[in-house]
Amino acid sequence: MSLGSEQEQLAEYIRHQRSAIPERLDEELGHIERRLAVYRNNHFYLLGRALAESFPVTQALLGRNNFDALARGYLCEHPPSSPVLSRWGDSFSKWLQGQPLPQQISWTAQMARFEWAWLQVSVTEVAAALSPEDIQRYSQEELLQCRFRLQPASCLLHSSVPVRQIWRAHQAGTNNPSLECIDMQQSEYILLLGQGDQVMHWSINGALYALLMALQQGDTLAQALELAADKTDDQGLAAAAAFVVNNGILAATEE
Amino acid sequence: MKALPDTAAFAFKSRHYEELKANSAVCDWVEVHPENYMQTSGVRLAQLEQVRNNAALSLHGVGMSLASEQSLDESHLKQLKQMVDRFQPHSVSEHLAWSHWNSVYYNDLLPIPYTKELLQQMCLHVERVQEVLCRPILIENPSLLVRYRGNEYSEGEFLGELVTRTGCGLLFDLNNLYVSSINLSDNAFEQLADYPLKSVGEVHLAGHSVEQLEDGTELRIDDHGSEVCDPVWELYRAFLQLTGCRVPTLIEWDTDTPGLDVLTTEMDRAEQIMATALAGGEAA
Repeated sequence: MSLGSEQEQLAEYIRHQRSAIPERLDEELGHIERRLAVYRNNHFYLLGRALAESFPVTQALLGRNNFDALARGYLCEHPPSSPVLSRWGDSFSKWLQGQPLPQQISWTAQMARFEWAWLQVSVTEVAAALSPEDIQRYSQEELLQCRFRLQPASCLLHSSVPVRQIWRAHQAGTNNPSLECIDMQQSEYILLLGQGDQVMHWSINGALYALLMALQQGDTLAQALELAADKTDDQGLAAAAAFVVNNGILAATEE
Repeated sequence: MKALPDTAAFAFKSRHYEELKANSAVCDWVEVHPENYMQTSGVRLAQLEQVRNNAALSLHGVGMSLASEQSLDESHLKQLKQMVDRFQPHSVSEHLAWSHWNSVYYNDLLPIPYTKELLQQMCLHVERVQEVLCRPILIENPSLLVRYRGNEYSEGEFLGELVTRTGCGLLFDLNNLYVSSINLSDNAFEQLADYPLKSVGEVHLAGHSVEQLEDGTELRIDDHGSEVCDPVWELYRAFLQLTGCRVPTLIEWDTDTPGLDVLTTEMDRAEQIMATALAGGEAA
């Protein structure tokens, strides 16, 4: 048997237990199936742990055993094709939505979506941001007609439960809320942003969310402000615009 | 290209970042898996750059699947090259194993037969990696639970041939050697001299778990999830006495990784053994 056939047989045995035990393995050592089971367990266990590294709070919510069982199911359907595991798991939150979860944490897929967004922001290049001075160079009329590109290391989310608050409650640190203090009925608009060596994140109001979503979709600033104005007054609008400018959320103007 | 400092270090995880930032004197060098930083930029790479500013770096790959019968993944190799160019690591290493088959990445280091056929394949792959990276790499001995019939070399001989033919070095994982020796009913202490010890560029030490079977057989599982066990420390001492040289020594802890306090305790023990073994004494 060629080396390739042997490796194929072992790979199949590990993942599906379909093929026979590779014939050239020395069975005199005894317990060959138990030995090969360790490789199979490693495959599922190590990839389950890799998934847990990307989704630590999702795991905490589900409990480790439940998470491992779900990870195994996900791995069977969506195995990684590359050793770059920070890019494996993009479909996990959507997949999780289709799984039967306990009623009280039926929203867990939204946490997985938040954690995936956090991870992707952390591994995306932080572009140079437009500074307040850059923006002041435009006349007001020019500015209103500008289309801005948002920082590529950023993400906007809307969740029906306060996932960012819940996520914070699972982090170490004294300034984070405790789970008991969180109103689970509250929806949340969230902005994640890469800055230097940190991922920043905020709960933002509906007006700022509408403004940023519109800019992200290619609207002009005038169009984006109009959408945001439906959700706030002039003062709120000015505060939203100042937040955007002062936190380096705009990366460039579209030509 | 500078060599790694011949001191003890640990496998860096992002959870250590803040601790290490606050106390960069903890170690002279760290090791990371390049795969954790490929296809990334932004915050994660900024953290690695910060770490690299204060410490020498070892890139220890887990995804090249060098011992696969299938051809090398050139795009993966290109990404590794980009990391090497960017971070100028003091060492680059990979495994004597395969981990990829038909577009599925197994995230495990799978066993191989020690045959002339595989040696030839392995040489081609190692030479290709070294050609692209423009530098020699280190190859790590695996931990094994199974053995192939018809092996034409012992593992040490196989690695010796690989070193001679390609100019690569050996990353000697003494926990792997110990684990394999128990699982395959060999004696790690007797096997030590089989390996190309003059070509060792780095040593790995780690913990492993034990699975007891009904008939009393013990399977040792290389899970990097605990402290280094006493027989592996003894093997480390024997290795040092055999070579008579200090060696860059890494504490690996990948499962339920503890904080730096636990890792530095392990590093201190490695330093202590290195000092006493080479002075001809006994360490605690």
